[in-house]
Amino acid sequence: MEEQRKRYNRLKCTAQISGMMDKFYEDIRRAPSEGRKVCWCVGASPFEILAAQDVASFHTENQAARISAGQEHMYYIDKAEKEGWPTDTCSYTRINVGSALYIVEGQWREDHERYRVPKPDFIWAGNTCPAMVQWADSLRRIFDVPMFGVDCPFIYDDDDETYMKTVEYTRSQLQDFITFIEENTGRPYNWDALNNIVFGRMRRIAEIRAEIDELCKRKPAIMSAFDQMIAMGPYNQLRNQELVEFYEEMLLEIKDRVKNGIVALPDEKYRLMWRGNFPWYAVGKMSRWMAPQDICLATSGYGFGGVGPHARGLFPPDGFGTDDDPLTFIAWNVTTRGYTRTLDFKMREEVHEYVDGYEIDGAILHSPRSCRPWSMQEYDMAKLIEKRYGIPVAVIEADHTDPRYYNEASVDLKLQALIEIIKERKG
Amino acid sequence: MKTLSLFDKMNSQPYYERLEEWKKETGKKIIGCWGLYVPEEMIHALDILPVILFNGREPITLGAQHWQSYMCGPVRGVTDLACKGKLDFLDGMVIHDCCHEIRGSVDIIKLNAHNIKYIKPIWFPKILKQKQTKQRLLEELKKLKGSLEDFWGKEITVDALHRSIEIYNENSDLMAELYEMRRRHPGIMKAGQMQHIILAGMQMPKEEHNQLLKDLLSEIRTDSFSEDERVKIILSGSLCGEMPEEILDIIEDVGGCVVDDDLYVGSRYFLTRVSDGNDPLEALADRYIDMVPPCPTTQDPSNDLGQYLVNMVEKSRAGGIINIITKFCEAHCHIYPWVRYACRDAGIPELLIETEHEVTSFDPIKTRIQAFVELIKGE
Ligand code: SF4
Ligand code: SF4
Repeated sequence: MEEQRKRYNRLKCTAQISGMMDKFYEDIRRAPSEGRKVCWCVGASPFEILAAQDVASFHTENQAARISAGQEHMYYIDKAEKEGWPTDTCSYTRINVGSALYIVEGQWREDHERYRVPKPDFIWAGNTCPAMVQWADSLRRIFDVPMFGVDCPFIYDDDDETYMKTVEYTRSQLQDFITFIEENTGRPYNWDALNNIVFGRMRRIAEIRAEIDELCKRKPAIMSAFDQMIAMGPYNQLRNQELVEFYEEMLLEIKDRVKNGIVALPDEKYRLMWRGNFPWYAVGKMSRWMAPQDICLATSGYGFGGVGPHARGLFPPDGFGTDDDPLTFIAWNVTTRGYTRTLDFKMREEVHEYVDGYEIDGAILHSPRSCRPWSMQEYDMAKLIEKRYGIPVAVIEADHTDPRYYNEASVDLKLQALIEIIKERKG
Repeated sequence: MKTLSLFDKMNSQPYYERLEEWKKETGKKIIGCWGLYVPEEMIHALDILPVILFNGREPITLGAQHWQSYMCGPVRGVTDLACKGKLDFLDGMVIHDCCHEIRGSVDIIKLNAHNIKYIKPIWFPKILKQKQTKQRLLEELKKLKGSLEDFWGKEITVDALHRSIEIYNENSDLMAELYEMRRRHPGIMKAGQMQHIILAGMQMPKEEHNQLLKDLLSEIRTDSFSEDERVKIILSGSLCGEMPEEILDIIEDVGGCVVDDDLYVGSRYFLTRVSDGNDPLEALADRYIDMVPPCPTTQDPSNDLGQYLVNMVEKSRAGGIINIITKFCEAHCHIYPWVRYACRDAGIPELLIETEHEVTSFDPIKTRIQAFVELIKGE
């Protein structure tokens, strides 16, 4: 019975996140009455650029994830499916489009106020996954507002020249986005504000992130990947001073943990890594299953902290020196995503760092049914990981937001099998 | 019609077997084109035969070790054939990543199909009407050209490229003529036979296909066709794969006929001619940017698929549209609702059918198509 009560030691600061996000969305809801423009952002999004011009913007994926975390997804999914979006469309899209349809029809449920967002004045699409520009295009039609898309090439040739050319290409599109914003906000672009955000706040957060990254490699793990993933939330959209303060506090808490010997799981025996986006509706179930067995989900490519080179790619420490041009930095940021990189690159820059740097005993690869960028190549990746590192891998098939595709029995079986193999090997 | 039965015969054999034989007989090289809009003319200009790859019709076994069951049939099937070595006759592959699934297949095929020595993935812009689109596309085309030239140690000359474009344009014109005939007399051939003709053209030298088309056109005597009483249907979609012939037959069995189409193995393949000017690469770039059939894998607000299909219905005086989504094709999923809205607004009956590689029974599809045809008849 004693064992049953074991739980992950959650980072205290993460308790603020839900409140921060509520506040963030409240602010967005207020925007129209304050005369601020609203932009719905699909895909890789340059929130810096929008925040600097005081445009209220949010990530459509995040709105969908919030609805899913609140277990209200089916209300929106049903709406989109009834209007013709087939079930094989990305589930984030179906939720978000469902909400857009309710908005234009003026049919918003009063008890769903916390998920409500105002109509957009314009739409952004960062096309790292081709579904994104199509999703954004649907929003453009639903609301009949302008849309701006940035095309993000898939980088097949893994050399510096191709990479830098791609960054340049993205940058030139971002330059046009600035013009687009000027036109749509009716005032000249606020470059000072952008420089402040990029070279002040984002630089500081990059430093914090690099530091947290290093600390995350400790054994036993200082924080679980669940916390890492949850902590990513504010970073994904906020660009205000509060964001910096939050991560400063997170860093302090982690340092404090180091000093006082506090860890995520005191009896940590097995360390797992997670790859892929997360079935948010299953966080609780999964962590309650792992902790009592002394299994620590130690790292994930989807979180803040513990993401190794991925974080370095997103925030190149010396990348800030790219002639101090904020757009180049943002182009770099948008272009670096794993979505547009080869399997070779992912094995080298992502998997290797996790398995090696975090002394992982086994890996869970999440294969979300309606998200191809994450699910593609996972079987081959699993084989490569097993062969190269001699650790077992479980590929679990579920979905990031559509729980109809989460087969609990099958997931349990696969995870149980994974743990059995690890136990056998480690004793 | 002699030529028509020739096309039917070609189709009775799995394409990879037929091509392997062709290669042995001719001693020529073959490059497989995978993904929409590979600029075949460039390969043709190297005197190599470009062929469009398909998932074939056999059960997917090895492919299932690399792809989840919820990926589209074409992606799982082509991977399957490549892993089984059935595409080993290919001297190379050019893969255009029109969607994320195809992107993913590049590495999988590279890792598991060792006998295909040249695998070249290409990226084309997905947002078509941007300031940068053409410049970027030209760079990609130049890269592809350079890569092909390097690997085969042979230059793709401007003259050769012009000539290839001409041959492909002729094919496009001949196909358009055939389609025009079908619009006027849908009875000239079965929909399945039209598919055989296009499939053959996707996998044989265009010069030969052109000759066959000329023969066929002169064989078709339209004066023997009286007014067709059947319900005229338009088909759209079936991306990256052929239509199951059973479905084409069902449409005809229940009293319908296909009068025009926007199918992948259909007008989508040949409708966009290349307006060749001085610079053939530029012409190829323009062809992609100004493609005639709006494509679910690209974004261009000035070219709407729904409106395009509504126009097609009006032009051919069809009674309705059947949209064919290759099951799990996400690109098509995103655009489909807009086709549906357009049909609804124009008062055009519309039916959605999803096709899978693995089909156990066509009965449910038959019931739906039958009801659809009855509905149009009743109007
Ligand atoms: S398919 Fe995946 S990557 Fe693409 S928009 Fe949906 S969740 Fe994002
Ligand atoms: S059918 Fe759709 S999902 Fe499949 S390869 Fe073609 S575009 Fe991609």
